[in-house]
Amino acid sequence: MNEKLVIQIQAYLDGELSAEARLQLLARLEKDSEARELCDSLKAEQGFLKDVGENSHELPVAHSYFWKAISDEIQPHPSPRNETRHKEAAVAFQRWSAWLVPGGVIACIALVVFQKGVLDDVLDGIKSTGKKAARVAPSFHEIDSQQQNAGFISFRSESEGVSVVWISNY
Amino acid sequence: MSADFSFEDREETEVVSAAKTGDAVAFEELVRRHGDKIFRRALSMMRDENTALDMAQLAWIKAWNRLSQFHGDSSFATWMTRVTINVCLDHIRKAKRWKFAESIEEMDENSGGVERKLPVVETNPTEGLEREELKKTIDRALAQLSEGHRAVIVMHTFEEMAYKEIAESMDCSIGTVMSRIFYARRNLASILKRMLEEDSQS
Amino acid sequence: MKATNSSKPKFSSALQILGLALMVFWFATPVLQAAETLKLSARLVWGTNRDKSADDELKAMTPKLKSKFVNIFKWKEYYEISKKTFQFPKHEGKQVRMSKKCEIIMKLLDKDTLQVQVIGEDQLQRTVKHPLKPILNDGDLFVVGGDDKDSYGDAWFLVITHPDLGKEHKKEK
Repeated sequence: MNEKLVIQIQAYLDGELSAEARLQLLARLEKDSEARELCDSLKAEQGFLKDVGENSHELPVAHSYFWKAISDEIQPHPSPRNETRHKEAAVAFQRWSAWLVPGGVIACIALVVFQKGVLDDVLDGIKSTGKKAARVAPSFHEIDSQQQNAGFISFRSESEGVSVVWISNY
Repeated sequence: MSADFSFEDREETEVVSAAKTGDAVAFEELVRRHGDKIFRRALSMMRDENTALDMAQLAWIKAWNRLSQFHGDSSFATWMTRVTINVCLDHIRKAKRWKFAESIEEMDENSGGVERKLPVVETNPTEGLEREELKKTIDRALAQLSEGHRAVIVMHTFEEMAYKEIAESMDCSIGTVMSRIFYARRNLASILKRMLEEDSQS
Repeated sequence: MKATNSSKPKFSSALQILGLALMVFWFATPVLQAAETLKLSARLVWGTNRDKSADDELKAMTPKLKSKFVNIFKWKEYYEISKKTFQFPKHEGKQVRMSKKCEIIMKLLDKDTLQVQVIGEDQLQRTVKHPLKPILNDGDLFVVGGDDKDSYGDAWFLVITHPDLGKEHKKEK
């Protein structure tokens, strides 16, 4: 008996076959005694597991202990006191933001200089005079995510000379 | 204030609604009500009490952060169980990824290959056992399955999740789910048969 | 007065020369960079614990690369789905199709930053930046990996290397 038929029988028992596929399989079962036997066997197995159910397990620790670990992690609902703090933080940010515009202009100039490779050439000049130690290449990779819920892990094996970025969408 | 308010006698929908507004007391009540079930599900997936405890806590934390995504299409317990299963699957995936995380034997997926040659188990291998005894035997047999196979058995048989839903959780095709469920069941039946033979010999 | 008058044009012409030199330097840098090309290799690899069946026409990964993978990852077998070696002007970048579902876009962001964009099923999955020097000078491997969506428990890897790495490892580790 081929694997496809066996899996089709299982899908039929699980109620996952389309109406058309179901009719085709029923016709096959009428003719094929071996397939019919397998169908009965699978049905018995499936029913048995559901009937018996699972072993019951309970939390091995006290609820208070279990809950504490959770409550330490979850964000409490913002209290009026927290809201006051947020407002204070916003005022402080406004004061600091006055410096952002000139800071941004300086950063843009610095960026343009970097992009043109001026700094690289200056530093290469230093290298040629034997003072390269100051220049350090980016030590590791940067990762941008384009998808929500997308995570990544990065890892570097020095012994193998392998850098890994593991991406996951789970 | 919610801190002085007990949710103990409240309807589940009311407790969930309060938790969704950020009421930690209401959320604690949900943890109290479903804590055992969620731990049991995590244990059935992970097979290790400490890891299961960690996974259950992580699942509750994730659930808190995603409560707005719960729209009451299913019961809260069902939704929470799905969150737990996904947390466990994620953990399994991460642990399987790096060799140094666990031994190869522990991480072996064991799908396909040898199992594909398994004969169809024609008889009920657990015939004659008492119900409680059966539960324990099934529990031991589940522990011997690979993580992937155990996950599909738990999701399909005990959680009654549809193929499509399992495929989404495991991020694979429905065909893969169908095949995996079949071989997981065959494998479980084969393990049960072997265990009973060993028990009867001893 | 006289001396002052004669020194002014000299000073301004020196400034002009300096300005011109700066402009030439400013605009010439990209032009010079454009002339340079970058050569790299990319492999798409499938990691699995399954035994290779007789029907499979999969190419095993080279022993040298496999030994590195085996020491890091948990999978026993690594098969090379495709390997592409390509050369591209540093300022332009290159789009390479690795398989039916997977494409990559390589680009050099600056002298030593390689940007790799991984495209799966026509969707940009991830943009990763990595220093180029360890790949070219030290024979390092840069690997982007993920779980195989179609085959639970298996994985895919995109391996970026020096084009000669498969032949001879440059650096003794």
